[in-house]
Amino acid sequence: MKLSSIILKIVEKMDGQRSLNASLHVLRGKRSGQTIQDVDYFSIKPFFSLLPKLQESTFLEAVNELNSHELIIEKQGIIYLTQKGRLASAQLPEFRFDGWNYRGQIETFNLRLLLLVQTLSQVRLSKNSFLPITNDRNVQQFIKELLRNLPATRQKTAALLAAELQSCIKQSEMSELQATVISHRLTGAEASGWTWEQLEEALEESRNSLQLELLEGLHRIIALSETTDYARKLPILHKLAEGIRIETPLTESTVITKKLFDQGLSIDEIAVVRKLRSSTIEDHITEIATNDKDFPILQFVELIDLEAVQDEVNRNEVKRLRLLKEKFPHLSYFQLRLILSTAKGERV
Amino acid sequence: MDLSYELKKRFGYDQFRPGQEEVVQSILQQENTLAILPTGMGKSLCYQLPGEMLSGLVVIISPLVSLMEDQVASLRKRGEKRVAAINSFLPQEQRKQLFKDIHTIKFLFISPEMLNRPDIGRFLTNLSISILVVDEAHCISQWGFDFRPDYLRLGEFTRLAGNPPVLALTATADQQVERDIIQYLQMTEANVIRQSVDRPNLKYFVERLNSERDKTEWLKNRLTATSGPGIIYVSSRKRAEELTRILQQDGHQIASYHAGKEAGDRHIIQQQFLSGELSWICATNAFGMGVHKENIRQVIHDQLPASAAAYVQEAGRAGRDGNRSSAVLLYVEEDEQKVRFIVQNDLPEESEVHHFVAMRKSGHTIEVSAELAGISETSARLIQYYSETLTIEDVLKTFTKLKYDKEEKLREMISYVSENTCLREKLLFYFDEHISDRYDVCCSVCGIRSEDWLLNKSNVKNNRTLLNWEERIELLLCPHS
Repeated sequence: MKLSSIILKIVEKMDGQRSLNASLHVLRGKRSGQTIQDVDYFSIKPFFSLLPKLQESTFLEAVNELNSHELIIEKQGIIYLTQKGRLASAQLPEFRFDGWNYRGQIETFNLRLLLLVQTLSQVRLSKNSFLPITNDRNVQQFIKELLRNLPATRQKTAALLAAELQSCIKQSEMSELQATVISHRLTGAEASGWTWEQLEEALEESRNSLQLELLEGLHRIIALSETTDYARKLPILHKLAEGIRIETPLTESTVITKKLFDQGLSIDEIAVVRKLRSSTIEDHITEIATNDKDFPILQFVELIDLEAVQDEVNRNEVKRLRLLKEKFPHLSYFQLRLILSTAKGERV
Repeated sequence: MDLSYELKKRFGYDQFRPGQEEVVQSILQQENTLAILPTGMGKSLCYQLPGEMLSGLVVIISPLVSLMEDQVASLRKRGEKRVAAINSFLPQEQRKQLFKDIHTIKFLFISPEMLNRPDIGRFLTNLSISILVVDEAHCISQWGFDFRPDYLRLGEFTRLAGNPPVLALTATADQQVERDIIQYLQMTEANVIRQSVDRPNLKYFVERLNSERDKTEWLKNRLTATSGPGIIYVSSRKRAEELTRILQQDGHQIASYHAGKEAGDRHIIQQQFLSGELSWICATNAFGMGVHKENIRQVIHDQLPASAAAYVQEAGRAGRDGNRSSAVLLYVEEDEQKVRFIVQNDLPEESEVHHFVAMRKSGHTIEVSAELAGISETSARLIQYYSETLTIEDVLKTFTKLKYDKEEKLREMISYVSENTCLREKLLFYFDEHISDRYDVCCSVCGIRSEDWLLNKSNVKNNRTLLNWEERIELLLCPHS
């Protein structure tokens, strides 16, 4: 599975309406108003936040491939699909991603699956001491809890999980290649997993492509396992998929805004949802940013602007918004406030 | 008291390894003890045995979560379930529960960061602590190669806890590090038990070459002619990747390992190395701590380590099973400058110190100030610690001295590779030891005709085959038929 194929699908949906960057934002799951509106408007929710860590260079490489095969063409910053591109897109298999609903959670599911298989594989042979495949505390805690609540012996549970996995993979209708990648990334006693490098060599496919195969395979597994229908048929996998789907619980003021924001809603969307003015929501966001050192400020401000303003603040001790606004007229007051609140760790 | 009986009863061993019995005796007599035992000499038994014999809680301060977990797991494996670990990953709720049930715990592992938190520190000082164990105690010294500023505050904890006997454990400490450990941990009248760092089964080699390319060529020949398992230590991720690719083309089962690799792949690579599926690991110094593999036959350094202590530690990962093993250091002249640059860059510059202090004064957190001043978090905590008791001028002086000391440490390594003195003697000299025995096979200076113990070609060839996915799942989870 190629990244270029996925991009081709997205471009097809946004044909002649958006720039190249819009596709990148969708794949990375940028939480700006524009991107959120785009995925809704162009029905590309399945691709949203599919590759949160996608490098721009990797993205451009894939785009170049499409360009050189004349599948897409760029005119005045807007991307169009060519006739050839349309045909190529029609040839592609249907992707079964669900980025919108599982965004950022696939890795959690993957780690849970890896650790559960590893643990059962080990304890089934009474090899209780092993190096866990992930150090993620939450995942470890989750698996511990899950195992505590499974009544069968470990040997039995292991065999049950094997049967569930096999049946789930078959019913998901994923390709042989996907099943091969998924099963060889799993690791356990006397059967170490394969590194990407080793899989690349054995399957003669690039790592990027194999990782996409794995990703889509996992989407398929989760989609099947999480349904209440399968709670009885695939009980272990069903438990493993718990909480992977993004939910939207509603509580109180900034907390509500934060929750909505964490779901990926834009400021305007939150305002609509909450029947509040956008400026109020912006206040909430600024507040969230102030209190969260990991706040993803780059979703609202370009790095170059962020650094320029911080530089200005540090050098000339300028904190007044109006003065900053004069220096940086292209930035909104909201953006400036955000930069100040995160950079200085205090409200302005 | 018959310690051998206790050892047999509780651990099933017939005899102590060198140094262990002395340490256990010393602790049982309530003496502050500094035990310097080479890697693989069973340091953890030194607190486990007396811990079982004494009443009260054994608190073990450990710098790495993975080390902590290893030790918790090994205690549990032995059947000792009264074990717990506190680190920043433990959810608060569970920590509270643990505190409630603390009387059911015998061995408590804790990170220095957690111990330094006032609430946790206060709670623990009110308990009856039988032994306070400081694992990897060299981390307390700026002259150690793994300096951890949080260790500096442990002395105060000891005092508040009513001075229980302190057992400081480390694999490598020269006189300077030894003094630091005793001073900062406030170990009055410490009993120092030092086992020689000499590892008779390790054979040392220095290969002086002319260029980077010669190193690669040398390694190519080496891996073809001799057997693993082995580790090649390199100085950068880039070099690790390049070298691995080249050696793979020769058909060797080798993988690269560094902090930039995907976490999943890092785990898989460790696992494959432990199980013998991989013969070689080409790694930055991110690889090693917490990896227990007994039969490593070779450790090759493609680049000069920053100090003799670091070298002894890394090379010492070879031959833990006691069988003959090689420690090779490759050297070209330009290496000196390269390593100097890396080492000196570790410490903050004067302007950075000023910047950081100014940021702190204007009310920023340590993290934010560090970022604004463009320094690492370790540097930041270092400045923070010193500036609490020293003036800025003295802080700067301290750093100047540290830089000078680091240069001295580097000189040790330069002299190791460039002079014609017995390598073993040199390494021992840095730890103020003298050679007691002469070995027929010692080092490249003393002369080694052949490394026949490595010529036995048992390297794994590529026999990796993909399975059908259904079989693969069965192999992992179903009973073997």
